[in-house]
Parts: sequence; structure tokens; C-alpha cells
Amino acid sequence: MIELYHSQRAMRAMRSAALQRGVIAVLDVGTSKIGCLILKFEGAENRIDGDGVGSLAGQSGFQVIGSALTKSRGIEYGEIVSMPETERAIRTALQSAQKMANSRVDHVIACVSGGSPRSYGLEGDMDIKSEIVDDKDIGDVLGACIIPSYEIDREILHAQPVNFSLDHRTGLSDPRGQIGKHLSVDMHLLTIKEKTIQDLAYCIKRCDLELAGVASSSYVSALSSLVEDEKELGAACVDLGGGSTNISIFWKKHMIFAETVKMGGELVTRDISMGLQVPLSAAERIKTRNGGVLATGIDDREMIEISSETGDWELDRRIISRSDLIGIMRPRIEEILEEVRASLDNAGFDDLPSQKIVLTGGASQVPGIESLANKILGQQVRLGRPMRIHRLPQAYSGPTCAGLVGLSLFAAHPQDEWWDFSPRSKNFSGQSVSRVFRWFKDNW
Amino acid sequence: MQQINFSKFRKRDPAPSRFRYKFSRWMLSPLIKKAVLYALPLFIIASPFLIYFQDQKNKEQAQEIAFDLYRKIIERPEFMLDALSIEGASDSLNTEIRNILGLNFPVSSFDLNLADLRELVLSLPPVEIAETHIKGGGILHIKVNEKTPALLLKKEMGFTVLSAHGDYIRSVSSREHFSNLPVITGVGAETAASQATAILKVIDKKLSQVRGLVFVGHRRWNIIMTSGQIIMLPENNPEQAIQKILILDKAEQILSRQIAVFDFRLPSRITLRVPTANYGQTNSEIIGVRN
Repeated sequence: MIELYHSQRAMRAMRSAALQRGVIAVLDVGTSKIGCLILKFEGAENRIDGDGVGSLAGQSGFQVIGSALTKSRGIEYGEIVSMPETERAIRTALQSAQKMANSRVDHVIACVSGGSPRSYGLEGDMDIKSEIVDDKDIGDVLGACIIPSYEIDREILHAQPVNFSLDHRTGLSDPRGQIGKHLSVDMHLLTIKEKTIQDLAYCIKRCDLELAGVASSSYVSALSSLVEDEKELGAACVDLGGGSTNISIFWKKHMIFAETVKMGGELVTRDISMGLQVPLSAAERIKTRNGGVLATGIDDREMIEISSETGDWELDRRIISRSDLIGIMRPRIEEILEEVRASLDNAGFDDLPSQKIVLTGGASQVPGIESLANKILGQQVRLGRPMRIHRLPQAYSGPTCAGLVGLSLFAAHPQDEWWDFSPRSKNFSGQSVSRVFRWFKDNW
Repeated sequence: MQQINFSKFRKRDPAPSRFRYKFSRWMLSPLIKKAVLYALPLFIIASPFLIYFQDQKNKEQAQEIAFDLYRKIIERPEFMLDALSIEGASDSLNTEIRNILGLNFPVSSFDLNLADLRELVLSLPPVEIAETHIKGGGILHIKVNEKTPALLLKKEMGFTVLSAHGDYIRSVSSREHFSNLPVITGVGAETAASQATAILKVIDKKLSQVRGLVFVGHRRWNIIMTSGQIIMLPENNPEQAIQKILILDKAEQILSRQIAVFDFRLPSRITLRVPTANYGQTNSEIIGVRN
């Protein structure tokens, strides 16, 4: 059992140890697939140009040396329901990735999609003693945030400072070194169910790996799918996954909201399976080969052969039109998108200056989903693919692997979180030193 | 279109067992990986040889074959040396060099170490510089520079031939072969041989009838004339004193006078000593005794 909050700092140390060694694995445990990338970190000398960002948005310091994608087992709606099954699936992915990388990894950074994440906006403020803001002041002001009371079975997954204000100047991303008197911070806190993260940590431990970091799946897929401008101006990333749909809202380069809708592509598959009376595997195949959400006239004439093996010839040899298939798929996808809309509305997405929505994830590959999303979510919808990272295999460059790629970026450059700063210790001050001194003087 | 039997995939669990997973991770750990990649093939290749050479008989046999092969190669006529030619050595030195090298021709050039031979030749006292090299046609060529005999040091028993710098060349029992060399004597005379050479160079036959030089008190020289006269030279700058004597002799014929000792030890105060009654005998006693 890990206590997530207390192990966050230890995981950060583990991550830097892994970077020192040069090899780290990222693991995306999803409902429909488990993906694993093994990253090799080189020194900073590979930077090509000298200006601030560097090539590939500064992500050129690492490359993918091993990758594996395997069918997920024992996971439903992003949560582990059968530990041994999940452990086996993780083992499969890791072993083949290690084989490809031809090197052993000991540290893994994982992401969790389930666990019903909940976002909180926190505020903290304090007067700073010294004129110039330093690391300790940041730690202090983060410590001054009022923690909302969340349920006892929840754990903090992310606690990221989003915005700093210093004496009525707001919108500072890093106030260190600036001069002021009153410092306040807005923080985004994300909690998830403790059990979800502990199950995952246990599975990873059973595979002889050390957990070097955890991230929310909503967060990491946005990291890879949103471009810099979208992150700055405000955008929502909707990762339409297999078992769950992860939503995150970015503004001013920080995540300000994340949520999960427990509906995903697998529900569509189930609908097809039930509607057409075919096995799930066949339904999945039909969905990916012929699926769509916008019916046109030509779809009435496009016939799909349905093959199954019940032995009943009449049942096994059926032909349906594509319109029929669309008729099954569209309501479910509409439902998912409406859920997304509802949760964006809850989050106050309409108040952001930019209303950009980026669809990514496996279910975003359904033809026509863009125009359907236009109708439900708003006009500024685009399909997002993850950004490129060095030596990523072609098969992993699709939106399906947005989470994996985002996790790699997270592994390379994690954002500063609450636990990266330590507040000033209150017990140790000049007064106590003088008290010790006096005690010695009195007693010796 | 070919039917895909989905149920087929269900049968085998694609996941590796815990043991296999751990084993594969162990195999990928850096040390084991290197061992399997390099050490294991090396061991497999080497093991037949190791097993074969465990047997002492096999080992000796292989060594014998290897040695035979080696001898066969180095004893090819191209590598053999048939003669020794020595350049720049007198007959006696020539014989000495041949004796000290002790080579039995023909000999393979692989068996000779030219640097060692050179050291050996240089260890002979009369040799100043030696070069050894192999000439075409199987000839070992040794080029030596002999030290030039310049002084004859008289000892209690016999004489020692020295070079101009006082290097030992050889010992002789009589002056027979070196009658042209000037004679020096005295305790530690060989250490100051360079100075003696310089003095003799200044004298340079201008003073006839010089019998020899005597080194006195480890610091200065006396010139002994055939007449038994003694010229005492100073410790510092004896050449200048000689010049003075030569000038005096030219002007006053000082040397042909009846004077036993010309004391030039203090150049500013030349002292002459007239002979006592037993002229000559006294002087021969004085030599080397007083300074």
C-alpha cells in the first residue's frame, strides 16, 4: 500500500535517479490497451539550437528505444477489477518493450484514467518577509493554501500552482526573484480515488518495477495533443478512450480542470455487439473498419458482411448497410459528447477566452466525429494527434497513443508541483537556537 | 476473405509467466547481458583448447611443434649471419672483441640482440664508441672508435695507458710499445689527467728533456727534467707558469743553469733552489715527497 501524497516526493527522486541511469519506462494502463514506451535520455548536448526552447519544443533530449502495445485485461472503465489479469497484461507489455529496447528498466511512470478525478481550485496568500521572492516563499505560500475537505478515500494526484500574484500583479508563472510584499497563489488540485492508484501501484510492484511518478491520464493526453498556443489561450482536450473519456482544460499553459466521463469506445462496441448480435471481437472489427457517425446516401448502398460462428447459417451470413451501423453508433457517441459538454459546462469552459476543443484518443478516429462534435461541443473542434517524439514508431503516432506520448513528455519535463517546494520549517528559528544556548549556559 | 478464428487466440495466455518475466529481466541486466554477449562465446571457443592443453603431453607436443616452426623460420638463409667485420679496431682490440662476443657463425640474426652486443663491445676499456648493425649478405658489422693512448701512468708495478681524459685503456708491463707517450705519476694522477694533457700541450716540445709529470698532494703537478731538475707548478693556471718558464729560459737560459728546483707555486714569487752537494740524488728523493 502506498500513501500517494507522502510518496510523491520520493517518486520525484526516483525519477531523477532513473534519468541519471538514462532509461525509464512509461506505462499507460488503459481500458482497451496497455501501452509501454521505454525512453532513453541523453544529455542536453543533443540540443541543436541555442535558444530557449530547442528543437521539438525542447523534447529532443530523449528517444524511444522500446515500445509495446497489448490488449488490456482486467480493467473496466479505467479501473482495475482483476489484479492478476492486469498484472499479466502489464508484464506482457513490459517484457516485449524491454526485449525491443534490449535493456532492462526498473523505473516506470504510469498514468491513471479512472478513479473519478475531481478538480479543486485552491487559493493561498501570505506576506513575504524578505523583499525578494525565493523558493522558500513559494513553498510557504503553497503551504498556506486552504485544502478543501475531500473524502477520506481520495488522494491528491496533482497539485500544480497555476498562477501567482504579487502585489496586485497577477498572471505570473514564476515570481521567484521578483520584489514584492504580498504573494498569493492559485493552485489546481486533483484528487482521485485512493484505491485506483493503490491497485495500479501494487500491480507495478508485482512486476518488480519502481513507480517513479503518476499522472492523470487527462493531463498527459492534453500535454501531447494541445499545441502551445492552445495551452496558452485556453482549450479543452477530450481524450475519447476505450473505457472512459478524459477531459482536461488548459489555460495559460496550466491545467485548470480535469474530469473523466465513464463512457468510451467500448460502449459503442457493446452496442454494436448487442444490436447486430455478433461477438464483441467481431463488433470491434466492424466498428473500426466500417464505423461512422454521419450517414449519407451512399451509406445505404454500402453493404457490410457480418460473419460470426454460431453455426446458424442465416445468422452467420448477414449483410447490413453502413447506415444501419451508423444508426447504432451515432446515438452512443452523441451521448458521450453530450456528457463531455455537460462536464465542460460544469467547469465553466464557456468563460474562457478561447473555446478550442481538441478531440483525441482512439474513438476520435471514427469518421465524421468532427462534424458531430461541432454540433454538440461548439465550432472550434479539431482532431488532435500527439506531437512527435524522437524515434516513436509509426504505429504509435496516432491519437490512440496520445496518453503514452504525453506521459513521455511528462517524464521528461514534469511540471513543478506542490511537493517540489518545501515550506520553511517552523520549528527551527533563531529563538530556539538561543534557547538551546541558554540551556547549555545554565546547566554547565 | 479468410475467416479469422477468434477463439484460437484465447487458448494461450500471451503473458509471460512470473518466472519467465523475471528471468528475461535478469538476462537483460547489464552484467549478465555482457557476459552472455562476450564471455560466453569466448568461453565456448576457448574451452576445446583448454581441455586439450590440460594434458601435459599434448602441451609439450604443441610447444615442440611451435618451437620447431620458430627455428625453421629464423634459420632460413635470409636471416643467417656468416661473418663478423670489425671496423676501426687495432689487431689486439679486434681479437678482444671477437673473444668477448664469442659468436659461432653461422648464427641467426633473430638470436642476436644488437643492443646487447654493443654494450658488450663498449665494456672493453679501449673502446670509445661502438656501433653494431647487420649488413646485407649476412655480415654483422661492428664499427668501433678506439680511445687514443695519450698518457702513460707509471704505477708501482708497470704502467697504465690512459686516454687524454684519463680513461683507462690498458695496462702494460713496460714502456716498449708506448715510448712516445709522456709519463705521469703520483697518487691520483689519473684523476687529473686532463690537466696533465693541457700542461703537456703547452710544453709541446719547447722544453726538451722532460722526463715526466708528477702529481703532488692531489692538487698540483711537478715537471721532472732528465737532468733531475724539478719545476714545481702552481695549482691554479699551471699553463701560465710554464709560459713564464719558457720566457725566462729563452731570455736567461735558466734551465741550463745549476738549479735544482724551480718553485713556481706562487707565480708572484718564483723561488729557485740551488742543488746541495749530492746533486741529483737528493732531488730524486724529493720527487713526490714534498710539495
